[in-house]
Amino acid sequence: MKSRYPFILIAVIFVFCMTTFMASMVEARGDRGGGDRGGGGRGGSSRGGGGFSRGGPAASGGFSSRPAGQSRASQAPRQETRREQPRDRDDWQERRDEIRENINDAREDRQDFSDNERDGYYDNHHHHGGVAFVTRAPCSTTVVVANSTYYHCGSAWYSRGYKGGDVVYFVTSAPGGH
Amino acid sequence: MKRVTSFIVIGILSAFLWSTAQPVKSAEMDDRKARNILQNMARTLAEAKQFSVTLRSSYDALQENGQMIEFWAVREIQVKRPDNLRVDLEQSDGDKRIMVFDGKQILVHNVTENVYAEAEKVGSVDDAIKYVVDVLKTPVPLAKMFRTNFSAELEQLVEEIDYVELNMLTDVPTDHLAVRTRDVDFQIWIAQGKDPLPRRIVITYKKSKGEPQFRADFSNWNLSAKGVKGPFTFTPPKNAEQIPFIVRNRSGADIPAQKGGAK
Repeated sequence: MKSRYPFILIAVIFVFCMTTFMASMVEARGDRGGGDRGGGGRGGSSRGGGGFSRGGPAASGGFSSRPAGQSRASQAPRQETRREQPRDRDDWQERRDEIRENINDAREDRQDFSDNERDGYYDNHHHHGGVAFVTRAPCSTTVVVANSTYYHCGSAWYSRGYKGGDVVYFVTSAPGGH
Repeated sequence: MKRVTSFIVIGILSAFLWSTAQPVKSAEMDDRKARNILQNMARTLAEAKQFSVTLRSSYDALQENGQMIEFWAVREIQVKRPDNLRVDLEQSDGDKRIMVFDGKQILVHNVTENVYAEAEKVGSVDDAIKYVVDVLKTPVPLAKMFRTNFSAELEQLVEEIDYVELNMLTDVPTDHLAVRTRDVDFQIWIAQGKDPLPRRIVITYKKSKGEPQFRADFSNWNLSAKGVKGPFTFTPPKNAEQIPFIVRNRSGADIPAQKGGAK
């Protein structure tokens, strides 16, 4: 009985070592997405077509979550508020821009709310404290004055501008002679 | 007998400790290797005097009803440093646009609507890209990648990096890397060989609802002077109408910029 003890001890240690080793290998491979055969993307199938919003953070193709130049109505839901401390000057600048943007958005939200309250409906016009604009031609009646196209919709006049990479139609005053 | 047993036990334990240390060491080596590959790619792009590339991209846009919709675009990008840039864009809805920078002004032409806008901007390609994204709020996918400080930007951005595998299914063998940053995760496939240029990138906006993705395939890389033909000046087509950029001023108001550009 006494002479068997070392062999049992060796066997137990061997089994323990092998088990732990195999577990560590599995874990290491798991962390790396399966080692050499790892990877595997996510599906991205969807249909295109009119009437769908083209905006959102992925539209910018940037290395951050901030959408560039997307109008508010076409943005995907806003990213979560960052709570990390800025790490460098760029981050501080980014944080200041973000705060300024939030203030502007809040002001814009208040403006939108009061407009909606007054008008009783949401007319898809965007106000940023400056010109109001829409992202689609507001009507088809056009007048060309001095090589500039104006859209005459009821009593309102619109002109075209470039915003966020897209042509938008902003409210303007009537052209001379109208 | 006791001595033999002790040797065997010590031997097994030593072998065990050595073998468990290997995956950790290997992972560290892979990370270093991945970082080197990524930086090598960034340096190659930054040091190129000129290049042209076709960027075929798609991205997810989350709709109000919760459905994720994919849109495509193709861009022909030409960069001639220090101060020439041209991007010819065609979207999946057929909309065509051209953006040209000649060192003095940025001009964007919407071919479909035959309108153009221009903004004065004197500086380099780096300056122009930053201006277009930050001031004109116009998306330039992978903008950081086309600036000369891309390598330094990556140093700041990258929090984790892994070497995934050697991909043999791309047109040339590519190193597949998985990178994590504070805001986004991205995967990138970088060609092996003398021109370590990106062949594909997938960015996941992990902090945004639905975790939308931006995907792009790079093709027709050309780093020779002959491959970058421009033109980097723009003559408005007949009947093209000039319209203003609408920019946000310091008080947060959107206003049409004065003729001649958004300052």
